[in-house]
Amino acid sequence: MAMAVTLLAGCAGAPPSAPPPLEPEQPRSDPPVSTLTVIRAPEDIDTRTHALAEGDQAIDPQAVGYFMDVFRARVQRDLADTGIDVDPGETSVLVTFPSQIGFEFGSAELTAEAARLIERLAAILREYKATLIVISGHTDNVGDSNFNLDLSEARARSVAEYLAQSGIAYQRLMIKGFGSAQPVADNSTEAGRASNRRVELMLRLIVRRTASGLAASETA
Amino acid sequence: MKSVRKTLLVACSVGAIGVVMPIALVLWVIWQQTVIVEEQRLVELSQDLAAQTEAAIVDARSLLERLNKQEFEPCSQEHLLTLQNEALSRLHLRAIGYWEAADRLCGAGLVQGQRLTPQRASRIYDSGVVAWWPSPDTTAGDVALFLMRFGNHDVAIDPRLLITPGQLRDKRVALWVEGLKMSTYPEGAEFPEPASLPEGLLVDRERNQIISRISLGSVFPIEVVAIQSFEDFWDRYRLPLTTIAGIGLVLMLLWLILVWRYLNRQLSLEAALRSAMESGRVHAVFQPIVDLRSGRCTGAEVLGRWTEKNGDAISPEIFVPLAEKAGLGTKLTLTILEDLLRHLASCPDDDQQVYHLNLTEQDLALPEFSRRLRESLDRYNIAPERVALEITERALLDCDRIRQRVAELRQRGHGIAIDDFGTGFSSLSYLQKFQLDTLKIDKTFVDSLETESVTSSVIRPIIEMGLALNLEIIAEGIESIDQIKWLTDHGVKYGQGYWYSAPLNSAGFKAWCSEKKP
Repeated sequence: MAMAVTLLAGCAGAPPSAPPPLEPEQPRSDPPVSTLTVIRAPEDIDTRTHALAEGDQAIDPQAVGYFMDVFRARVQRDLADTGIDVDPGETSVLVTFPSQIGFEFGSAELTAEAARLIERLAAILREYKATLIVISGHTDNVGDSNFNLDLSEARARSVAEYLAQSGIAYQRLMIKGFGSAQPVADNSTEAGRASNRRVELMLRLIVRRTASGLAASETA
Repeated sequence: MKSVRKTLLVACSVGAIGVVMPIALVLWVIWQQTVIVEEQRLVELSQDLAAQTEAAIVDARSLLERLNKQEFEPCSQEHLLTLQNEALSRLHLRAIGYWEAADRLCGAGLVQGQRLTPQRASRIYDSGVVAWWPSPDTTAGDVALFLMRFGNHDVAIDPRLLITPGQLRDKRVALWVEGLKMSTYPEGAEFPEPASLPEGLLVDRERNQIISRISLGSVFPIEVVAIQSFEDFWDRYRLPLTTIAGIGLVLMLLWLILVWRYLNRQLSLEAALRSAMESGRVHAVFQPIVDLRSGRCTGAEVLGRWTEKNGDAISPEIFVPLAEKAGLGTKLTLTILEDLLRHLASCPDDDQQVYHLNLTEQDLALPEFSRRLRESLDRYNIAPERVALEITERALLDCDRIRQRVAELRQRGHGIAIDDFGTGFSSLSYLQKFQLDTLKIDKTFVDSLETESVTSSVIRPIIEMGLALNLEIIAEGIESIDQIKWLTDHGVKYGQGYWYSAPLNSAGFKAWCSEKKP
């Protein structure tokens, strides 16, 4: 599942949209991140992961299994029956918002329903601090691809900003717009296109770097 | 003699089987009952354990839910007191913790700072409950705990205490929840997997044990496997069972002894009678029949007498019924007849005395008897008129064939006498129907003449009836001169009894008669 986010190098470089000047609530790590980070290259995620792994929010390697189990249980419980898809992996959880419950057509504005659900997710993430949240926006292949790219990133940003407002540090948030480049279903049917219009949140476990030096978090 | 032994053996075996079977049946029923009782106990125990476990887990879950809902300042004094109270009020609960993500911030039971974070949860439920079955990863203080987390709280259950050893006595028990082994008693004992066992009871003859498997699935699957070995409950029930078996054995022996003694007596008597008849120890004796007025000897009733080699006489009251019962009645009659004929042959030709021979019912029923009687008489050249046949009333009742036979015998010249008249089913009708010659009045009526009892009033009409039918009347059992007087006054001509003479042997009878001859 983690692959979905990491292997995306060849995408058309989208112009970075200006981050809204939101007040960061509390930067924690040494390099304070006070704005939303847009992923430019796959290595960005690793770099951020390594940075977080040295912070005090990271999880002890021996508690990884326990953390993932209770985290997964919590996400499943709180997001069950909301239309949000939860796909737990070994050291990450993929949460997918279908666009129809999150946004008006062609808009990056969160609906009231989406805001409520994201607030719920934020409550979990506030407790389960040892996670990096990689948010990626996706569209179907209908319409102008540049527009789609912009729209997808704008939607990812909306979600990220909402989480930030709800108390999640910018440091734990990264976004990327994919446009229609990573469909999960067949774009030739309406149902397939609906599946492709989505925002994915990859919740990646941050494991503390031990004296032995290696972070155990990444799946090869 | 060999056949007697064989019969005895068979009879005793049958007797023994008759006694052993019910005892064995009783023992079997008792054993079955004890097995059923034990099996029920095992099943009940298993059900109790399953219910107990289910209750504990349901309770733990609702406790966690309650704790999550309470809005304490996390790890405040109030919060910690609540956790402590909840933990102390439950026997099987070892710890309650308050967690954020993978950090146990505070709690009751475990030392502050200690936390159990097993690598892999056994179950993650959609409800958000996460559970870890007892394993090395969940061990604190050498006890593998069952952990359950819901939201920010978790509980640690000591699975040993889900099984209460007091209930178990000599049984072994294992507990599975959701197909995962939770606890066993004794600790660490080996058990077959529930899936390998049938639901309910299994009698494992190979290992001599009963295994019960109970599944409870109302909330989540719980399996209890309980094992009890036969030896244990054989130990418990040995005393009553052996006691009953012992009593049964004694009863059986007593019964066998009784059967043996009875059969031995019966069979030996019968065998002895048979051999007595064959070797001539059963012979005829003669009780004189007398003309009451003149005292003249007119004949005799021929009776059987059994004298053993040692001189002991066996009463006809014993051996006659015995002979009839053993099917030796006709043989006895013929034996006596033979003796009578020998006696007659030795008597002078001018003798006119008539001898009364008693016939049994069997004699009359046997067509052969009539032929053998004739053959015997012919052999000795004796006229049938010399031998009168005494028949009991009973023999004549309601059987045309026998009546016909009697009529034939009379035709041949035999006198026909009704024996013990008045004691049987006396009825006027047959007196008329039959051609009879003589009525013999039973001794009881004659006895009653002196006592003036009810029976004495019966004798008079009997006599009158006999006279009216022109029958010869013989009174039996005369013992006094007064009786003779009364009888002669009422028209009875003949009599017999101890007043005149006891039954005599051939020579004795001849002597007695010649003495009485005027």
